[in-house]
Amino acid sequence: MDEWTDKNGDVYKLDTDAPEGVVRYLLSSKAKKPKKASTKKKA
Amino acid sequence: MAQNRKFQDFVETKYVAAGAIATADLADASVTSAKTDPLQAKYLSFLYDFATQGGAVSAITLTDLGGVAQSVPGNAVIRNITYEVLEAPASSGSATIALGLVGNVDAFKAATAFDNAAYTAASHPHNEVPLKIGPGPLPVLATVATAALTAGKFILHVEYYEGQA
Repeated sequence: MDEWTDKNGDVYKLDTDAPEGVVRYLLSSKAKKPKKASTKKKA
Repeated sequence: MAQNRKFQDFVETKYVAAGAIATADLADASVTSAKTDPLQAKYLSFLYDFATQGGAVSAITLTDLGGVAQSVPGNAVIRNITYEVLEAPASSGSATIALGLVGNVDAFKAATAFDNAAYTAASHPHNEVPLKIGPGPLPVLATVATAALTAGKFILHVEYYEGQA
């Protein structure tokens, strides 16, 4: 498994520089946070 | 040397009368989870050891106690996690540790400071436990964030039922 997505949308990729025998994943992209709803009142 | 063919046959077929084996005949610690019936809780232990796995900011896959890759089986219904600290985690920064699975890095414990009591003594991480995993086996992770760890050794004892597909 070289890449997987966490439940929150963060993507992790296999760290190919990890020491031999160690399997670890680096966070390659953070999930985008949903935009907050505008609080401006419509005229 | 004269041979006793009947005795040899007896030994080779490993004949054992029904009910002849008593608990005392079993070697200590010889009954593994795989040999108990499906209705019994199963157990796996996962090791994090800074000495071999390092403490880089990353999602680190835990191993069995011998350092070999190991996963929770597919469809497992995880019912309990026990954290056993062998050496308290250390960091020169504000490292956090989350415990969970591939695809759900905080299934057992949300990101928490390395020096929190949850990591310096035995504890029961339970963020989303009980939890049924999907059909595929999943590795167990310790996800280090904010700063690297500089020491630490712990075991996660995972207790689960064999769930149905």
